[in-house]
Amino acid sequence: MPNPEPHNPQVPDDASLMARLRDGDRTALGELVRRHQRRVLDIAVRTLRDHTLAEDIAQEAFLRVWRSAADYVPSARFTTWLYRIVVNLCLDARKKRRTLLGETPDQPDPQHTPAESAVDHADRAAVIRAALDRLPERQRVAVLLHKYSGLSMREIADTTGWTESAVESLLVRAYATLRQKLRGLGP
Amino acid sequence: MQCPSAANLVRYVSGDAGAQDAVRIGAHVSGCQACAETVAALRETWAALDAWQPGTTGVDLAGRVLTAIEAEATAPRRHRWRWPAFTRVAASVVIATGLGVGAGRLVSGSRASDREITVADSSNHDVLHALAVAFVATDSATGIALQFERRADEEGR
Repeated sequence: MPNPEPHNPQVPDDASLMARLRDGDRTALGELVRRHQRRVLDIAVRTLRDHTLAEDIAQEAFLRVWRSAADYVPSARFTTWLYRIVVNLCLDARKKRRTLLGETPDQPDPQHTPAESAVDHADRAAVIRAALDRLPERQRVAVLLHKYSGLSMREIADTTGWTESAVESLLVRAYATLRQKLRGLGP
Repeated sequence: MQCPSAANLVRYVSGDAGAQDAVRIGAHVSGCQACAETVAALRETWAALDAWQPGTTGVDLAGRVLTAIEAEATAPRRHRWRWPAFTRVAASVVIATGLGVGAGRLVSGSRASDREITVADSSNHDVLHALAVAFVATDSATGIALQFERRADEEGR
């Protein structure tokens, strides 16, 4: 699993930057943003499928980091806390969008097998997006964090507040469903 | 060796298993056809998912965040002029007492004819009644005033 935190002792770690931010040093926030924005934007874009909204969510997430700096206690990894903010903001945004647009909540669709239908193989990304979209929300979030953000099951549990065994179960079921949907799609 | 759980096979494929567990599971998979098939399928799914790479936005997020913070920090705070708390409570007590006394007099007025007939009822009864009404009204009005104050505090937060 990739670790976004620096190993170079010359580079301040996230907790040090948060301490500086708590003392009013806004350049520390700039450093935190530059360090984590790629991962934060990736989570938001993959969850929301809307780059503009994802940028707004990412901005709001870092604003919340700034507003909460005074109360921040480095008991867990900074990224766990940050990703929790991002995931919650994304899920809220999806809920609002569903309410506004009258979309139905995501439901598993066992009848739908896009990989077996007349799908243009040149657009495999669209097939994957469709397959992920049809996963129940918690399964989709677990896969996005596991496969694309590189979080371990333990880290997903810490980020989402779900138990590790729940995350295990969500991922096993999600990958089993995706296996059926994406069969024959190839790498 | 007993077959690893499905979750541990997912960990194995995703590289989340830890070095020792990875060796142990790998040794098992090489000798177990069922687990080997599961791992092959998981690897195929895992690899297929790589095809979806949403483009980067190229946004200057740090610049946006710092600009937003600057705007938030320099935005003029709304100052609402408020009566001091004791003034509001005192005003509500005065108003409610007035209302209560008025209501009490109204009640005693409506009983005048009864009093003339029964005579035995003393005027003290009406005074006590008026005070009781005033007390209840004061209590309610103070409660309402405090509720408004609490709500105003929450909205101002």
